[in-house]
Amino acid sequence: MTIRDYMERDFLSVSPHAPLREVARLFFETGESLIPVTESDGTLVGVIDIDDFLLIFLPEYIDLIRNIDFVHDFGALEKSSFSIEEKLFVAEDLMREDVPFLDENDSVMKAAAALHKLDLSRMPVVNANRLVGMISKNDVCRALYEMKGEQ
Amino acid sequence: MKLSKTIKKSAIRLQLRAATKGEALEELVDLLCSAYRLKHRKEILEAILQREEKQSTGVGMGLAVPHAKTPVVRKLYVAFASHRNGIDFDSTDGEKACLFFILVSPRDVSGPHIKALASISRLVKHEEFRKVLLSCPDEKSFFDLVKKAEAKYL
Repeated sequence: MTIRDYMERDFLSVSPHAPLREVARLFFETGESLIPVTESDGTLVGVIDIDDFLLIFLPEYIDLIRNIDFVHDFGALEKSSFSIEEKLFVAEDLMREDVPFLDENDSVMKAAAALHKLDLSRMPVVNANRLVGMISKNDVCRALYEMKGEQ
Repeated sequence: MKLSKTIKKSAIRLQLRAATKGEALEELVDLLCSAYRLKHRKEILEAILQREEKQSTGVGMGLAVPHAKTPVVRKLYVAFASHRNGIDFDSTDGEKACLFFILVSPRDVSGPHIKALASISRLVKHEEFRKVLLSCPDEKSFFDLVKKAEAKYL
């Protein structure tokens, strides 16, 4: 079972220049929590984690408090405009470059092990540095489901 | 992220001499490199210019935040400067930039870079803060103003 046969080929990615609003759109349209960043020739340059995106808008004290029920001013945070952030950030600024990836010829079980060990929901799959797909734990489950057992 | 704890006193220059955006970027990189004794000035400037090509960091309201990630630094470094008359910085609102935060951080870590930019944007959204920062007379006042704003807005 190779990754090539089970990975998602119909994935969306952003360019390093993409504006913040484009990144937000991709997160909610795809429902994914990890978006790959690629150059125009398809070369994988990094990934954006949804938590890094949300970090822009969450105040520092959120990490310090144990119970968010103690926070009463979330409404005030929502009133804050998006204007400066969208001028300040492009995709590249949010991107993690030390991104683990898999080769499309790797085995599905290697993907399962990597996803489990790195605690990731999905990982980029490359062929000669170019992004060719994304593989998730759900794709691994499909591979296992379709596997023919010995009778 | 508390900028008052991140910025070194020597990384504050209240009167930039630059007359153009290019000169301002060079002066800001010089400020950053001398305050934190950073080598690789050329690489840092190059990273800042490359990021600037993607989208101007002249965010309007008299503010510019040139920033970049580069492999030649090991942690986040931030500097602040102001300019009495303002400099044309390709800002979206066409206004000259008078307040400058410059920051560089390593390429392999994204968290501190995002947090520092988020803190800056959260503070400078407030017109009152921008006004007092612009009329700041010395480095000590800068830290007092930033601390006060951080307590109020972060």
